[in-house]
This record gives sequence, structure tokens and C-alpha cells, in this order.
Amino acid sequence: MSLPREHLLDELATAYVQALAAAAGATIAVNRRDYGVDGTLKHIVTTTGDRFAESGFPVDFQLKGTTTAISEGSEITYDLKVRNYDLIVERELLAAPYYLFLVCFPADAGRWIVQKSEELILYASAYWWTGVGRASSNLSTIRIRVPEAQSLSVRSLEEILQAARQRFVP
Amino acid sequence: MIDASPSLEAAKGISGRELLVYLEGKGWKARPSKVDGISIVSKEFPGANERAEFIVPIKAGFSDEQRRIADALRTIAQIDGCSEAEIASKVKEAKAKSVASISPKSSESERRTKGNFWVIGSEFGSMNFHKLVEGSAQVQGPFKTRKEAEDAWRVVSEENRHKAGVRFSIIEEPSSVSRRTGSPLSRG
Repeated sequence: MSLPREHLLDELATAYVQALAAAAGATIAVNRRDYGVDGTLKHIVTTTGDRFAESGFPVDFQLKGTTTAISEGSEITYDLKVRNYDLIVERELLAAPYYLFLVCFPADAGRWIVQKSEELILYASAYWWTGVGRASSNLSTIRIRVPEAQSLSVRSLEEILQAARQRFVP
Repeated sequence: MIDASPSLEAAKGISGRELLVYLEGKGWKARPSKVDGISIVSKEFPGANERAEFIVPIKAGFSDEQRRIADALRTIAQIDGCSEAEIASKVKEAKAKSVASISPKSSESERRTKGNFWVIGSEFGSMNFHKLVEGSAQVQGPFKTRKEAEDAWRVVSEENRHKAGVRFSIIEEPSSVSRRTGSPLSRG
């Protein structure tokens, strides 16, 4: 029995970001009941007795798996729910940084994940977006435009974590 | 992935200031961050690849305050090998002991005094603390009790520990002035 389409999309989007985070030396703390923040990225350090602990400067994020994002020129456009948009743009500048991670899959669910003998492939591309400003006056959604250059990758996650550090460390 | 739910639950009712007082008693070092009201707390561990550190909001009002306290509780729990709830209990115990340790004389003073407490300080241009550096004066308060003022004083003093010319003091409002004007520090 397969998962419902939307549930599968969420699970695969989560797996995509989790894989990138692990490769970037970070872990994700999630709270299923916290609808504002889907996860918090933090580095991991080894402490006494080979214990591992979260350390460093947090990055909060919302995670959206989608099949409806559109590539237009050098931008990805996506209709984000107003509530989610407002949460990001209204986060205080002095609080921990807060991003949208957008994982874009093709419409055909049969292409989302392919396993071969030595490969597990997620056919998706991912992007990060954040913003500062006033709450939207739209009723339902607001169209955000994400430059393709804001690709979510191991390197960009490292840069995002580094930027979080620079926000706080004098 | 790590389940943040227990840490968020444990963080309820704990302020960053209370957490900081507990951590300093456990050998963690606090230093100021670029952001006013947020301290960076760190500790070195023998054999560790790098020190553990995290941020603690010490001023109320940050929308992510409880989330950051939950982050801190997770890190401490991971290092100490116990649950976030156990750490939260210890923080609350430390707070209770701190309140109970106020001397009878202080308690009597607090019962008698109706005025507020303030933490005031500045950077001084001379080491005899006679000349202020213009624009560096800070005031925190009002605090209802001396204990609250002492906690605030401890935090702000720790943040500025590396600056030899910075000094903070706790000022108690005379109760008669308090009733008439509200605050001896108010302007106008």
C-alpha cells in the first residue's frame, strides 16, 4: 500500500533536506506539533565520552515539498500560504534566521524516487528563500520568486549556518 | 533527525536568565553576542573536537525565546546524558535555592521596601570610575525585588567582564520617592 501523494511528497522532501544537512555536518530538530517552524538546523560536536551534541547557532526553517513551483527564466515561482509567508518576513531581525526550503518535484509521482542497484535518486531540485518586510494583505497565498542561484545544496547549507554564526558572534 | 518536542515542553516556564544562572554554576562561560539581549554560552570538553556553544536570550521579548531555550536544553541534556526534563528540573531547583538563599536581612529589607530596584552602569573613561564615557550609560529595570535586580546585574556584568572600565550597580528606589514620582530615574 502506498502513502497518500501529499504525505509521500512531504516525506521525500524531508529526506532530501535531511541528506543535505547530514552532509553539511548538521542535524535537524523537528517538532511535529509546531506548525510555524518545521525544523531547526544546528551543527554537531563531539564532547566528552564520544557523545554528540547539537552546538552552534540555530537556523529555523519551513519545509515545503511541491509539484507546482514553476521555473520562469532564472527564477522559481511558488505560491506560498500567506500565514507561512508572514511568519518568515515578520521574524525579528535579531532573532535566529528563518528560511523556507522549497523542494520541487515533477508532477509525475512515479518519477520522484528511483532506486537502482548502487543509486537512490530523488528527482527534485531544492531552493532556499527568506525575506524581511510587512505581513501580506493577500487572503490566501502570495507568489514568491526565488532566484535559481539560491539552490539548496551542501555548500549553501554550510553558508547558511555560517551566516547564522556571523549574526551573533562579534 | 532529533525530536524537539520534549525539549520544547521542558522549556516552558524557564527564562533565559534563569538558565544562564544555572549554566554559570556548572562551569559554562557566557559572553555577549552582537545582539543586545542574547548571550553566547560555551564550554570546553577534554578530548572534544571543538567547544559546545549555543545562544541564550537573556531579555524577554524575542519571539523565538522558548525555542532557543529548548535548543539549549537539548544540548545540555545530550552532553550530560540525561533528559531535557531533568535539566529543566535542575534549573528550577537552582532558581528555588537561589531565592531561598537570600539572607533574612535582605528578606526583611524587601518586605519593608516598596520601591523598585534598578541596575545602572556605564563604561568609565578612567580607572578610578569617576568619568563616564558619553553615550555608554545603561539602565535596566524596574525590578520588583533585589533578587531580580541581582540576576540582571550578574548577567550584564558577565557580558562586560572583558571590559575593565565597565561597572554596574544596583540602585534601590526610596519608597517615598517611588510613591510620589514613580522613579528617581525618570526624566522630565
